[in-house]
Amino acid sequence: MTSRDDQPLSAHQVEAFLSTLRRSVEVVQDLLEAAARRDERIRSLDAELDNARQRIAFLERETSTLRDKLAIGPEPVSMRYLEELIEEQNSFAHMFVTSDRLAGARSCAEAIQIAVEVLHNLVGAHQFGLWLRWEAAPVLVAPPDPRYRVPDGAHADLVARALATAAPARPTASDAPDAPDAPDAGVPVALPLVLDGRAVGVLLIASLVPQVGSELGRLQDDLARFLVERLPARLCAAAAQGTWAAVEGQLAAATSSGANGDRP
Amino acid sequence: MSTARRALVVEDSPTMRQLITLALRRIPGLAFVEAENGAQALDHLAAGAFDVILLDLNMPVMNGFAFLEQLPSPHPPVIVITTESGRGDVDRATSLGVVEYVTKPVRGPDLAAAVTRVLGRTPAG
Repeated sequence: MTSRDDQPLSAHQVEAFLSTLRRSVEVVQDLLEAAARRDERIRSLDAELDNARQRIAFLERETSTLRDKLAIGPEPVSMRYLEELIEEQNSFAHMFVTSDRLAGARSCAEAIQIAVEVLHNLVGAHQFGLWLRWEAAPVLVAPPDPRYRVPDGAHADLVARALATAAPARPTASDAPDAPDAPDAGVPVALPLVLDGRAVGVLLIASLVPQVGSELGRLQDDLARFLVERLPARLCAAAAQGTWAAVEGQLAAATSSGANGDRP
Repeated sequence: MSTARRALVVEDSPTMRQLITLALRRIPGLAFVEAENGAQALDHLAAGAFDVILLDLNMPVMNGFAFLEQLPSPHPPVIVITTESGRGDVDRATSLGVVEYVTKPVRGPDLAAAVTRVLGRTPAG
């Protein structure tokens, strides 16, 4: 007599057993995966919590610093820093006005008149001269008022040197052996008007109004250089643009040649 | 300075007028009218009230001194903007009612400060 356990299992029973076993494995795998996901979520929450704690610590330190600053009062602003800011703003205002006025000049004469106004009123030049040159010798074109125009021949060496080198020229020790070296911002100074790498003119500042002194301040120096940099191109533009009729003529020519597209 | 104030800028150089009005824009509530010479300025004064006059001395047509001599009394306080900083000019201008001097080349903040000082001394008109 054999026990029931000793009896071989039928194929159906084996299949049922294996099926149950597979489901059990699947359930265990699902449980393991769910546990892994939970672990991952916990790690992520831990990281977030850590970040939040660090952020809170940072904000607490900031709050503490701000409380300390409030208790002490506002930091004193350096007067020198404020002065520099005001000077900078003033410099920009002068450059803006110079640039805006030059941009509006519709003739060479108007552009030169604006340069004279800038030199006299903003740079503080007392006696000065503006030379322009073509093929022949340079021609003194401004200022028209003899009270402010440099005398004939004055500082001709500086004018010639600035024209030849296309670089600012000041007296050197050899010009006046007994005089101390001229400071970098001192006058007289000849500033070249450079266009396409060639000096096409020179601005000579021989003396300054008493309020400015014997040297160009940073504002005056910046403005004088700004002026000589922009004046040649502005003179070219003013000479080219002429009148509104000329603009219309040029646009009409460009349109008819197809260079400017269709008229609106 | 919540009440609107008016400034008359009398200066022949358009460049200087632009710089002056740029500086005056820093003063809240201040409107300005521009004149190219003393004669134009007198016309503006006849047409409307001003709280301050900013005046160049060296101008064509009618210079600053001639303008001051013809200025009807009472008149708004006058601030002179000029390169003419000789003692004689200062004394002459002061005797003609000038209350402040600003010398060229003008620094915008100095000019705005001078106008603010003058407006602070006078009630809104």
